[in-house]
Amino acid sequence: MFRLFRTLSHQEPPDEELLGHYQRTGEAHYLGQLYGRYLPMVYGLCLKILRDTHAAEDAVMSIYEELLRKAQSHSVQTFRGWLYVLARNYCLMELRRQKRAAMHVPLEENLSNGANSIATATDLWEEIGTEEVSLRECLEGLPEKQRISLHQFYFEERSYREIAEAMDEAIGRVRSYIQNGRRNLRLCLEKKKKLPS
Amino acid sequence: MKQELPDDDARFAALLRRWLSGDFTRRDEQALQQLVAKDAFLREAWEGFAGTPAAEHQAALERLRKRLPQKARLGRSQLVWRSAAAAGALLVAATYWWWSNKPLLDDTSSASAPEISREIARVPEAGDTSIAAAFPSSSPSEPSPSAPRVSRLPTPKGKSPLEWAASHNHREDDNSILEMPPADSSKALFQQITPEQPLAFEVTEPPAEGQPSSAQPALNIPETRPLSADRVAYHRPEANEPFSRTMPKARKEDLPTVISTTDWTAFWEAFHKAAFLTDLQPNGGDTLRILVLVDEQGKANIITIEPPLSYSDRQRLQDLLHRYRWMPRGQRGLIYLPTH
Repeated sequence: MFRLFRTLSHQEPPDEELLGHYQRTGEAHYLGQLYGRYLPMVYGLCLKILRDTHAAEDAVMSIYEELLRKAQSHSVQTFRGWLYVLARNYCLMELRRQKRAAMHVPLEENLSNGANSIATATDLWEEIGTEEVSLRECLEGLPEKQRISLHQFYFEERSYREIAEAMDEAIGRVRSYIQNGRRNLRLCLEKKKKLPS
Repeated sequence: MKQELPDDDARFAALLRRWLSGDFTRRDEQALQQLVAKDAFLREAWEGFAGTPAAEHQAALERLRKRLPQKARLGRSQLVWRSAAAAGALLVAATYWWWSNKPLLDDTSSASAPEISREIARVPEAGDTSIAAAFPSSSPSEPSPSAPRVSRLPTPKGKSPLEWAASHNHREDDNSILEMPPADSSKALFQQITPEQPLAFEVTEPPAEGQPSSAQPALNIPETRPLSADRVAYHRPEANEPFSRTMPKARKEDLPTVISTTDWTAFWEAFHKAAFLTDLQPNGGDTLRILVLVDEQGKANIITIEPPLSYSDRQRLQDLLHRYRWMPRGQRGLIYLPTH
């Protein structure tokens, strides 16, 4: 588990040093070690754009293959920033290819829908703090498991694991309940704002 | 890019770890929101995870990690020292090689192709339990230069080598098959193997004879280094014994279907020749197929090779060699290498 999140420490060579070793020797393990540092971030980025875990996995490896070639010939000042741009462009191109193969959906619209639903998720709680009556009503209207999960996470400050154990559910399911519960809560509150009683 | 980003990456990784493991709390969520608000890379990565909360991200990340080429990671100071030591050793080795190999170069360069072929395609000895002994009819044949490319799998008694291996001498669960996807030229990951792009193979050898199976291997890393298009240097580190050999360009039709090797160095010589020294038609878009059997004595045997091409997907080969640990005692592997 901890190997998945190897981060830069004082014992590890900096990004540019590893990149330099790869550029000089062509030995892929240097780049593999370097790329491994950013693996979760690249995977998450691709997941956001492609919305599919298998497609994201494939994209992560394809980006690595692209890195193998480009890192040899490009002068890279800051590997992290360069990787971000390269990975993002690759996933966007991949999404375009998918959309072209399926049906035409405006790309930016597709992306922004997903981003909004997540980026504003936790702001919601602070925002709705002043609307206690509406909040209570909306909470009551949520499916039971979403309501219990949200209550335990926000009011009782329990972790996902503790909630999962209490509900005898998988941790991933609890994450879903909280995620969906927040979204439903937001929709409910927005509806109440538009239709004041 | 801000200077504090690496620290932010570390904090992000720690919070993501808690999110994946389920130890994530409301406080963590607040900290994460503050963190991702500062950096687009982190924000988009987090949005990806949060957008698919029920998926098995942990397993996906583990799979991806395993697919990256791994090597024992070195600390910065270790890297500096090892780099310095390697540079020094290289200088000494280059000097030594220059003085010691000149006569050898003259001697071996006169070796004829048939002699070399015979040396590689060794005939199995009596009592040999290797795959070669099971395919007496599939010894190296005299090929015709115009022969069409056909399957060269020997099929004694109506069985494929794999079927034979499954029913003979090996456990069912000891079957390691690694199939690579076909070559995709649009991904342009292909490099020609050249003297400037040497390959070094890592293998695990069986312990020396008479030693327990837990003992150190007799030979750890045979280094293979192309010196030129048709000459390869080998180095046995434990004996500090460099030597070189002329490997004439081969035609795919000349490759024997069965190569019984007596040691790992001979195995890699044969492998190297099949994979990288064979003249082939470009744009074949085909697959180099090598069926390998390691017998009870830890002897590696290449059962069949078809059809090798001059370009090989080097990264996939490296990946393969890093992932696949060649262990003694009845291991076998079927390798497909994408080529172009």
